[in-house]
Amino acid sequence: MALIESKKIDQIEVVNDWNIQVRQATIIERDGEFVSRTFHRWVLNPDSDISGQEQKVKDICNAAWTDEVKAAYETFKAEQAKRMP
Amino acid sequence: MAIVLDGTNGVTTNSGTLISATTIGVGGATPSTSGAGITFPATQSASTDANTLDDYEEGTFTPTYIAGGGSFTTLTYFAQTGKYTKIGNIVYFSINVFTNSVTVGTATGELSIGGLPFTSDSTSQFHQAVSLGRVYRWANAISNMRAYVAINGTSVTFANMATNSATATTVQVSDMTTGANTAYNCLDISGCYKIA
Repeated sequence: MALIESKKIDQIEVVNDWNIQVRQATIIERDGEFVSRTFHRWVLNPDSDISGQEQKVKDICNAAWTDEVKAAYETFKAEQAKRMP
Repeated sequence: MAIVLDGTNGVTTNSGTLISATTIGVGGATPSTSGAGITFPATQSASTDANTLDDYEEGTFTPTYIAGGGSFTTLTYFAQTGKYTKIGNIVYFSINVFTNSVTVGTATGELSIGGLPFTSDSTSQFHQAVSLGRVYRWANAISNMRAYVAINGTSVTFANMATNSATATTVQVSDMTTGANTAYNCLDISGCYKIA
């Protein structure tokens, strides 16, 4: 009886232009039969260090974070720093 | 025996009820082989109907301290736990963070907790309040702070706002206990927020 654990990025979503939502599934199989699946999530934005991300995540980040999107993100951050209208 | 609801014929029973002894899969999801309940698709099939529950997911995330500017030279954790359950468009979460060692380096300004698992709602001014539990072993007293999930983001922000003022006191990097100290700068945070 062999238990095998595998990890896979199974979901990458672009939310509101600059938020890249990533989900990693950890799957446990016993003799090839599915036993369980758990999830770990993180979200990246243009300020994030993506050097440690898988290539497919980097590719989507780089495609989504155009100069226009980065500029919009910086404007958003400046507005939020005011905290109150 | 399996009953398949194929979206065309449906199933009608005399009593109007449908009973499963174990699990039911919706949206084409393979029903879980453990326990009893409803299995949703691993990837949400969002419904625009306000009366339809269209997603359920449990998981973990990694909360981190984030400085307003610059970066920490050293920031290691004694505990760094985040757990969530997503039900429809609401995420329930709990965070527990302790540091082991902090060297400030160029980090400066407002301190927040990042790493929430989903992006929050982006409606203007729609900051969503969450609760603080244990707050201890900080260099300065910060226990009177309120906490909220900022709009269109994945961080918890801290502020103490006087009701008769438009200014706010916030937690700063300089409020942290620095150096090598096991299990310091403790924060427990729990709450829920509507996602984007």
